[in-house]
Amino acid sequence: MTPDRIWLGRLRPMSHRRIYDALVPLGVKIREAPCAETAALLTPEGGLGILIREGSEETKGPAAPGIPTLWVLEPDEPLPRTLEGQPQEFLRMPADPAEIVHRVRALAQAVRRERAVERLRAENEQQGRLRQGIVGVIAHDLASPLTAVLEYLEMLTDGTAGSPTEIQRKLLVEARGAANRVVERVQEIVDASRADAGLCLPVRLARTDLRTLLVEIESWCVERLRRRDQHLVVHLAANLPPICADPTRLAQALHHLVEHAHRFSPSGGTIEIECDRDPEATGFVHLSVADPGSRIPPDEMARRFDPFAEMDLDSPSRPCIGISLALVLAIARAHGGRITVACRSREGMRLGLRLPAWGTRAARIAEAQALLAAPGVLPRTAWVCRACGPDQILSLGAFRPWVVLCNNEVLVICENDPPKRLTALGRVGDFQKEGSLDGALQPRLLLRPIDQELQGGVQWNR
Amino acid sequence: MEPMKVLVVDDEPDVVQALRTRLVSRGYEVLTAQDGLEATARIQRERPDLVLLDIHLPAGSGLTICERMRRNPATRAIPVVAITADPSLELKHRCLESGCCAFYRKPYDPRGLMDTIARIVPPGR
Repeated sequence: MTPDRIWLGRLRPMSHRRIYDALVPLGVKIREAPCAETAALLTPEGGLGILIREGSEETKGPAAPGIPTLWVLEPDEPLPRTLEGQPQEFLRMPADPAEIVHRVRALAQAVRRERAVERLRAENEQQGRLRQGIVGVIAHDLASPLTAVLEYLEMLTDGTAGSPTEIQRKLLVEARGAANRVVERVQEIVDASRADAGLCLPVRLARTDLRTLLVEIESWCVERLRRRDQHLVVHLAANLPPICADPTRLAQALHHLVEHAHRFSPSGGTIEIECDRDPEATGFVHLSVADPGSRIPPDEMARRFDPFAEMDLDSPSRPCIGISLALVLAIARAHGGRITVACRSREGMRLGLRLPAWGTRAARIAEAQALLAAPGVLPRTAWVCRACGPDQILSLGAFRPWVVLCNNEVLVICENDPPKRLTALGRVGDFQKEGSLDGALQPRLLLRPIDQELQGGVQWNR
Repeated sequence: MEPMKVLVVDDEPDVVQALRTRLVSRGYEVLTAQDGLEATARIQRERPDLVLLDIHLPAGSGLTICERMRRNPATRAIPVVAITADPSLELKHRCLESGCCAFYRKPYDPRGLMDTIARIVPPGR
């Protein structure tokens, strides 16, 4: 893999000769560039130009942004000042021609790969936004007819059209239940499409006792599993701490996990719900649903997290749109957690949620994230922090508690009036900023913690 | 006792008809409008006691209608309940900032809406 252009910057005559002779056989255009900016400017748009220059004292200087640079160094020469994150390679002279060519090719390959990833990411984001738009239109068009259906069912039930008989009342209850399920499903599709477009689900995080939550949904689970003679077993650890969660969203996620296990397990099987402190992550709780019967191949499993993935109709598992697991993944992310997937050939499959325990740093980060992702978070006032001095504070929330950026620290203001108490959640440097700070009047950030080292919020255990 | 007047503004005939049936059965007088221009004219002429306002309308946005009502001393005090199918999460706050006193997203719980209406404008004067 070669670049489109090679620019030779300031080089000692010996190095210049050696490098030039080594690179001529590549067939790439080699030109002189008096400086890095010139090389960047003259490289055709979309093309890849590599600048080769010395890192000596006389020519020391930062690389120009956007131009990959191969630094030529003497044997004992220290590394030059460079831009962090800039694609670059280092070549110690004297180097043989093969080494010179190898370095140039390695740099070109790295840059092309990076650009391909960036292009793919941009395409995915654009497609996500397009899908979100389409789903939004569909949801919008379904909403009004559904509204009319619910209104008429309500009128039939409440006697507006005369008192229904007992049988009619029962049928109406079933009809309303089905209509409400349609409403829930439409909302879930909208939520999944928002997550697919990279937006965070709105959640209301609170101190949540998992034990209480599981008791509430157990009867639903048992009733559901009974349809295929499946049994539910719940294992709860004795010393389970409370977690930071939105109980409604968490129940929604659990419903989907149990439904997934119910659907893809054989009849008569046992579904297990297990909840314990996470052995792999301190300060987290692991909630999982296992079904020994699942035989979904791992590559197909991965596609189930994409709400718009096409399923193979010949697949041994039932084809379905992956809204359920995509939604569970979005819920996990919104909680500052992740999904875990364990596929073992003899033991079936275990899908889990890793959620932060209440009061931990991860929980506070999730709270900040939820506040910033809340709809309608608009700046109202700029406050000056008395604790930190007259530095600019941007008030990001119109609704209390306010989340505020102050000197690169994310703070929560818990009082209504000018800040009386500030609780430091962490530094902005700890977060990956998305969006841009346009100024004091329009800051809008969606922050996601970058300490989730696993990409996509899914951890695979083979 | 004179019935309270409710203006239903929505371009979806299904929704208008369902709400009309419901409200009339509860003792309200129901007026309707299907676009922004008609809604503005009816508000000025009829001075309803309550407006149920869809946001995305032909010939005018519900938000604009609401903001105009707030600026006009003659219509400032008329309560407005926003009802919309728009799934956008920011819209609720924009509606409340424009002067709506309540916000419902379709499909809503019919009982909840009726309870809100009854609280704002009890059926008879």
